[in-house]
Amino acid sequence: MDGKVYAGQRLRTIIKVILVTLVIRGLDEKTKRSLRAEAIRRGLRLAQAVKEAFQLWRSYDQDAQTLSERDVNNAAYNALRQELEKYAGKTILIAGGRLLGTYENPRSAATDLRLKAPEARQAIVTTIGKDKREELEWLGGSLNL
Amino acid sequence: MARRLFESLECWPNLDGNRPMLPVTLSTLDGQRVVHEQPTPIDTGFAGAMLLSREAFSYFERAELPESESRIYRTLIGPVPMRTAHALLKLPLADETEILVDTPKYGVGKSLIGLRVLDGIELLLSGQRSETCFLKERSQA
Repeated sequence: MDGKVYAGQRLRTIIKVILVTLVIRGLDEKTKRSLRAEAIRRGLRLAQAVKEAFQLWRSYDQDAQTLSERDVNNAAYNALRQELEKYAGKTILIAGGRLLGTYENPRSAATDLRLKAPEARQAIVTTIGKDKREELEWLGGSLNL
Repeated sequence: MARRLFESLECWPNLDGNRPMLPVTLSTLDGQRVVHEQPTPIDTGFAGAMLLSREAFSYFERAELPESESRIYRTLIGPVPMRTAHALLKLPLADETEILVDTPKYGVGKSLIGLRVLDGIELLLSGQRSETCFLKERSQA
């Protein structure tokens, strides 16, 4: 009886060990060392570091459809860029790779997007001549992304 | 400089006892509320209006700036390119305003309030009381 209990416990322990241990074959020593070093630098256990890396990887995957829509819209914007200069001060709306209209302000563009392309997951709304690339400062504090 | 008097209108305790915060309500340009009075830390080192996590930013992707116009932040570890989008911000005791929100192009990001939001309000960061208060200037007449 005791022997059976012992065997059962041992089996559970073995199963637990199998569940929590992941063996990665073929991972080169350099990658292994730098993964361990990065985990230590961030104050994480190796398992936590791998979990975070996986979550980041998965978040990119979920985004794949949006990314391609974004690429199409940005390509359309870049192609139309010179032509759009005549709408200085107006807000333009690009979705599905097409210029859908020009508006007095971004809110009107967003309202029209609901009517013209309700299925769009990504759209470009920008005021020509106003929304220009800015280089801003981000000091210390919350830099750990 | 002349002496100025302020009265505090409303205060909120700091997050974790030491991080100043404000409750933030964010909506998309077409009025869909995304976050409601969410305690959000203030980072005076962040020059933009608001940084969002990748997940929160996904609600604003239907009003994004072109990648060529999206912001870049200069940091001690080099430039960090962003995705930038239009959003509507409502702070307590203030009117709703249109702002630009950012999320890192690479990475998961986090939520914080930057200097551009603070530009438009009077705020007290009280270290002694571990709280953040909205202020109103009192007329001396």
